[in-house]
This record gives sequence, C-alpha cells and structure tokens, in this order.
Amino acid sequence: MISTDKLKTDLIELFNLEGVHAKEISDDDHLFDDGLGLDSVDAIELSIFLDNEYGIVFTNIAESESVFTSIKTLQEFINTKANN
Amino acid sequence: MKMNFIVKSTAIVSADTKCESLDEKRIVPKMMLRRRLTRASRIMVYLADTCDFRDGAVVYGSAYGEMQATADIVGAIDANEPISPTAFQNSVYNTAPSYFSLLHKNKNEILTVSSGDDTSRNVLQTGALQALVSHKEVLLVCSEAINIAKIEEVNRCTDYLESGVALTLVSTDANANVDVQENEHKGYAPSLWAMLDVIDACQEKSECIIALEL
Amino acid sequence: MQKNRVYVNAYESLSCAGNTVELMEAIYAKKSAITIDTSYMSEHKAGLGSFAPNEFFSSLRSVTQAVLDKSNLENFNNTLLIVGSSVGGIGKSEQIFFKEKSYKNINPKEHAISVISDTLNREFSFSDSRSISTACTSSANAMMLAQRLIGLGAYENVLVVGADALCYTTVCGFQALGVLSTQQCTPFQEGREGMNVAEAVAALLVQNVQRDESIELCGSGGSSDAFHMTNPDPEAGGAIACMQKAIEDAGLQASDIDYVNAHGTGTQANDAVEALAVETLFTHNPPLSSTKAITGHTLGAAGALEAIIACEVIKQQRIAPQCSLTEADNKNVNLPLDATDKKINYVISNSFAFGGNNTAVIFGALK
Repeated sequence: MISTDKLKTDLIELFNLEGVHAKEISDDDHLFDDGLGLDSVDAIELSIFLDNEYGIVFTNIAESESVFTSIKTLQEFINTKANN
Repeated sequence: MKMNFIVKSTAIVSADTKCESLDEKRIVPKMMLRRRLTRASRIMVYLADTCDFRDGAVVYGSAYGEMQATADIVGAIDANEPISPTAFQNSVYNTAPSYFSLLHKNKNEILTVSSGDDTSRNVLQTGALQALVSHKEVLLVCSEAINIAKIEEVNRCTDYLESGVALTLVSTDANANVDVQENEHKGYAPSLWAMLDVIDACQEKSECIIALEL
Repeated sequence: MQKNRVYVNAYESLSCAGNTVELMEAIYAKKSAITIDTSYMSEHKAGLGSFAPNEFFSSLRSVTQAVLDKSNLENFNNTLLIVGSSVGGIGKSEQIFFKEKSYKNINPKEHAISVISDTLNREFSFSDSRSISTACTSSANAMMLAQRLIGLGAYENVLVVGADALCYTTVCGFQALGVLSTQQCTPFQEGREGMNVAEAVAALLVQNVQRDESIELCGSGGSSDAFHMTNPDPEAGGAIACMQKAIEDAGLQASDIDYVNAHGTGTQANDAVEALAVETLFTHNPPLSSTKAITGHTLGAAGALEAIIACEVIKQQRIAPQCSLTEADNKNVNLPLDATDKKINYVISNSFAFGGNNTAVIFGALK
C-alpha cells in the first residue's frame, strides 16, 4: 500500500519538479492541465514508471486516462492493482 | 559574396565541467518548462538573455548536439530498458533553440547548423543570410555541452565540457571597421572558434561592424 | 531583395521504393514500399522504409554522382554543398557501443552530422559545405537556404543533399513516443495508427541558370509553433504561417497552388493539424496527398526527397494520389484516390519537425 505522500514524492522526482514539495500538492490536484500541468509526454513517462515500479501495464489509453485524473485516483488505482 | 553587419551584442560562457551561474530561475520562471531544459538549452537561454534577445530569427549551432539525451537513449536500448520519451524529444540537434522558442513564444525561423569544426563559421554565414533576408536583428548561438559520464573515452577536442558563444547581427550598408583574425582558442572546441574570433575583434569597439561571407 | 530566379536542374534519390523513376511509379500505382520489421524491437512490429543494409554511405556517393552526371557541370568545384540530416552518423556509434559497451572506439567526427558532408567532400571537392540539422525539416531548410543564396547571387550552384539512415535511436525513440505504426502508414485516414520511420538519400542541384528541364524553386518560408516540443499547435498557426510566407515569397496567391505535397506522417497529431491548415489556407480545395504512404518518413531527408517528388509531379503533370486511404478523417480536404492528369503550375511541399519547426517550399513549372 502506498500513501499519497509517497506517490507525490515519487512524482516530484520522476518529473523533476524542482522546488515543489509534497505538502504543496493536494490529493485532489489534477495531474494534467490545470493541476500539476503534466502533458502527453509525461503521461508516457508515468506509464513507464508504473510498469517499472509496480508491474502495472495499461491495456488501452482509455483505462489510463480515467486513472490519471488526480493524485488520489492514481494512488487508489496503484493500491488496487498491488493487492491483486 | 561579402556583406556588412553590426555586431550588436555578444556573450560567452564556459566551464571545465558545469556552468553554475546560468540564472535559470529568473530567465525561465515557469518550472514546468525549466524542468525539461537540457544543459545546451540552459546555456542557450542564458546567452540569449545576456544579449537581451527574445524575438527574431535564430541560428543555432552545435557539432555534437544533445550528448546526454543520446547517451541515455542508446544506453536504455542496450540495457533493454524503456526509452524515456522526454530523452527522445530532447535528442534532436535543434532542441536548445526550440526551448528558447517556447520560452519567448518566438515564432520566427529557427535554424540549426551542425558542421563539425566549421560549425560556428557556418553559423556566421547562415546568420548573415538570415539577417539580410529578415531585415531585423538575428541571434547566433553556438554551444557544446558534453559533460556526460565517460566522455573522457572520446573527448580530444575541448577542455571546457560546457561552453557557448553568442552574438547578434543587424545588416548595414556601412563599411566594416574591424578585421577579424583567425585564431586558435585554447580550451574551447574548434566548433566555437570562428565566433570567438568575431568577439575578440569587437572587444575594443563601441560599435563593431564586420564583413561576413555568405 | 532576391535578384536571380532559382532553378532545380538535376536530381536523384534512393529510398525504400528505389530510385526516382521507381519511386514515382510506386506513387502513381499506390504501391507502398514499407515493410514490416521485427529486428529493431523484438516485442514490437514496426512498419519501416529501408533499402539494402550497410549501403547508406555508398548510396550518398552514387546518388551525388548521378546528379553530377545529369547536370551541366564537369565537377562540383564551383558548387556549395548543403546537407540536411537528423541523425548523421549515429548508426555506427550505436553499433560500436552495443558491441563494446564503451565510447572509446567511436570517432566523434563519424558520429556527428558532418560525417555526411565529410564523406561527400572527400569524393567531390565542393567549393564549401554546411550542414543543417533541424530534425524532420533539415533538408527542407537546406532547400530554403539554397533558394535564398542563389537568389541573392551569392552562389551559382548549390547541391542540396538530404540523408538519414535508419537507426535504433529513431525507431525505438518514435516507439517510445507512442507514434510508430505496426503496419504501412495511412496518412489522413480516420483512426490512423502512426508513422513509419524510413531512410533515404536525395540530392538536388539548384542553380541560377534555366535549362529545358528546369523546375523553378519559386519560394520558401519557415516558422516556429512555439507550442510544444513534439505536439504541433492544434490551431495550426505555425503550419499556416510557413505556407503563407512561402506563397508570399513566391509572389503568388494561395489560389495559385495546384497540389499540396503534405508532411503527412500518418500520426494522429500531424495529419489533423496539417489538414486543418490546408483547409483554412487553401479555400479552393487543391488536391492534397502524403507520399510518406509510399516512402515512410525519411526524417532529415524528407524535405529533399519530397522536393524531388514535387518536381516530378510538375514534369509529369500528374497529381500524386493518396495511397492507403479508405476513410478520410477530415472530410473538407481534397484527397485524391487516383493519379490524375491535370495542369499543374505550382506545388507546395510541407515539412514539420520537433520543436515546432515548420518549412514550406514552392516549386513551379517553367512559363
């Protein structure tokens, strides 16, 4: 089980979000567009990270799009998959 | 064909390994853009800032391009690991001027020259052409950023693992008032020498006008 | 400021479809030369455009020699060489590194873009040379510079050479971006999968003298999207701007363009934006097609290869059809399914690259 804090720390490192601290990111913050502001290239980097770290592979784009909504939805998804 | 150009501004930066004072946070305030900048991109935006240049045609040059991104990609392929799409998008020779374009929303023509040791000579020629055609000030930048792991296995051309030179040109009908001499610039990659020659020639002049071959 | 008219007087190419004659036959017959490969990535099939392996450097020499033979020149001693290439000699560096796990035996001069001009200079003694590397617009930008230099009277002869070899970096790199197709690409098709990476060598002699067989290099223009490193501006601002600049540079109106040879890589993003740009700018709805359905995307060589195709379309007075199209994504552009004989005066050729770099070049029939 991972906490949202651990996920935030991992994402800060993955995306090289210099000067950003985990406590500045809210669990409901969107990953893309108006929240963290990640883009389509970051989405691919995130997919690679999830595969390397947790063995999670998406079968289609629609699946990843719903999961990548916010920190919270991503954390819940990882924990669901990790339990199976 | 030789034409005359005013050298409006110049800038140089170099370091044995890593240029430390590139003032990135001020020059690139948006962190989401800054985080992706390659070393060559940071050198380029720093030099452009020193020349106070944002809008207008750009000619960039590098003999060896984005070595870190290339090394990352080839290393990942060799290790049978996934390739970072960020590394791939950052591996083209026009990466640095493209980030400059993004930073300043510069929609002008942006060219990149890569001609080995002749790179900065060709940057001068291409920049001269673009200055003539655009009738505006153009930015010329040449850089090498090769501070990557194990570069010592192949580096025989430069003491400075990071270096860059920039100048801006405007075309003029006035006569040239300096003679540019060809020199060796110890420590710098030969790909930068021709632009360093111009900067040397312009040292003592308040308004420096040079003749450039197209 | 332009003083001289500028002409394309000789050219030759080598791509997965063969030489120029074979390429045009394939284009008009809608016969893609893309093959499906599993050698670069064992877990992913890839549609690629390749010619015989290990022949890239010998092809550089033979294609350049062919252009010299077709020209009015004895040699290239009074000719400027401008190369456009995206990867230069990286293929050899990869092979050395994969084998030895070290950079020690990589010759930096053979790794760099300049390996192409160095190879040609050893054989042909050009008066001078320079190399442009702006990813997929490299040789289109080389054409633009050739036109400007000859127009100004700075040179009488310029040889533009566009050249890129297949390599692991680009095949695996485009796969990493999620834009590689497992099949022959289908430009402008609804639901298209992506692009085919390909290799080619293409050379054009550009001069200030008109000959019987000349095609005029009428105009060119470039722009930057300033939007994203790999995604094009969805409003097509940069694509429209570069085409407008080229049209203005040629002293023409948009309605003068008889055929648009698209960048048309087969990716979702490029083709959507390019179709929007063409729809917006060319309200007279000229035929539009991408010949990358035949050749694949030859990266730095694309500008030069497609310049040759544009010249051939004018010489043959025959529109290149869109191969591999059954259902167009954008229904407002004119994508011909058959090769059509038509009066063709002007052709515009588009190239768009990483970093939002855009270049358009216009070719015209002799008046």
